[in-house]
Amino acid sequence: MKLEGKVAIVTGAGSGIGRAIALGFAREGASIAVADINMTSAAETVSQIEAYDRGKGIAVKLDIAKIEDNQQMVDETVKAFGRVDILVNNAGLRNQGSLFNCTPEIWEHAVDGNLRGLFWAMKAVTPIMIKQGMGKIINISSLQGVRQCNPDRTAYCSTKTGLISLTRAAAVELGPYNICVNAISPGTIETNMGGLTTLFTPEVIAERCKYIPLRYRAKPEALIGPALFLASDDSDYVTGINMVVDGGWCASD
Amino acid sequence: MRLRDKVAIVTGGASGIGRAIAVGFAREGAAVVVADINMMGAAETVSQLEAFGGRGFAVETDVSSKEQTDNMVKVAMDHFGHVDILVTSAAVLEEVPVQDITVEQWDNIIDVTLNGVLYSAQSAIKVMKEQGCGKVVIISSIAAFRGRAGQQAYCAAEGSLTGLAANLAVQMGEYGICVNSIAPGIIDTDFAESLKDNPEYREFRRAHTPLRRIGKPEDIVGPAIFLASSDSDFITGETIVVDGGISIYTNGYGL
Repeated sequence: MKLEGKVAIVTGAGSGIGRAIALGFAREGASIAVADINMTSAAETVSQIEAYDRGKGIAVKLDIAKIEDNQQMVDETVKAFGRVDILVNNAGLRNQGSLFNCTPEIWEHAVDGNLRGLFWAMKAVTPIMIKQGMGKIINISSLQGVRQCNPDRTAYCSTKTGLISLTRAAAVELGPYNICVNAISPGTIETNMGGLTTLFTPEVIAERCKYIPLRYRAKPEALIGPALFLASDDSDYVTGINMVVDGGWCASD
Repeated sequence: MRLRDKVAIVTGGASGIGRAIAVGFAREGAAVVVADINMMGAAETVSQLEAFGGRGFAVETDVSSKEQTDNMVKVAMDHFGHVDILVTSAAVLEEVPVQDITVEQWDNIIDVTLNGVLYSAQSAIKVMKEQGCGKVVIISSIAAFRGRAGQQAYCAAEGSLTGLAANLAVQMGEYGICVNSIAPGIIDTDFAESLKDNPEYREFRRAHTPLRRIGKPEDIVGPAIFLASSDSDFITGETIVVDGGISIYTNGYGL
């Protein structure tokens, strides 16, 4: 097991990519703090974690935009497990908001959910990782932080690119403490983020897959391997990178 | 074991990063074909992996010859019946000021470092396409995006490898073949001559690396296993930088 005895916080772990990563880490022996705004789904992830009978799980309430929630999430994790080796900043939100129709509320909503909250989660976990002499932080950005897929998502894309930049800045700052900070940018994944399921008709999926070199849309489980790599000692000399996991979409012309 | 029953070819497997990857893959259960022009070194790599019960053998290969890369794949097929993974690690590095570099020096670096990767990939992809699966891992360098004085041919070749990886990924995706590259920073091997007998430069590099150490060949093994295994099945056309963060930190490279 690659994460035996390790403790991980996974935000947004009540569903989708966050839940897949939490379960994938638990299978490798880690204990997990499942942080989500929806406590019912967080509790469901915890019960799935405990079914593996390896690491333990706790559910933690997190409104990603609230600074105090991020601090409390870290405090509760330390109280339950005594340390934090891995932080997966996965919680985020997807909203519309073009240059033309973006209101201050839409813009701030995107910044709060995709950038501000993640910064405070990192800030809360850093003193503990410094004391431990090691840590792994993984920020989940988006293909749309690398390439623009849609003209009406100015706010969303700006925050996702900002997150990649935040990752680099934190990597340089925290490197001397042996804390690695990296990002993962998923392409099109079968989740219900922002109510996507209703938008993805079979026709839309088929059309999109034409542009993906591997010709399929991945399940959330496709992110487990990449997250495990960046959370384990396999990546001890890797920091400040943004790993695109998109079936080759981004590499296409 | 993450590469159980897989067959891997590692070019440049006689030393440095290539040797570390060959040995690391064998530890994960793969049978390894160690391809190199240096047969003494290749034999040593094979004996290192046999020491813990790994399987592998050496094939003399000059990757700048398409005939020889075809032969490398043929020998692997004759022995094992399939080729699941190709790692291209063979490269040539020479520092010559741009005003002095000769056509022969330029050609030698490009022939091995760039053309050799295309030939190796061409030979292996033919087999992988029939299999309907395969993983190609191209070892490039952060010299792909950062210019070090005197390394113009090496930088040009490594930069081209990033483009080649993206291009092969797009072409071969529909056949289930993933093509990615790893861009290491300076790794402490004989290949990195600039570190040799130069404690000041070594210290400069260390101090400009966010993780505050010079890389070891073993640092590339985990990333290579990841890209060769099913853990990375939805990743293709990607370059993974493994450099302790130096390439994102000011202009520590090449000063």
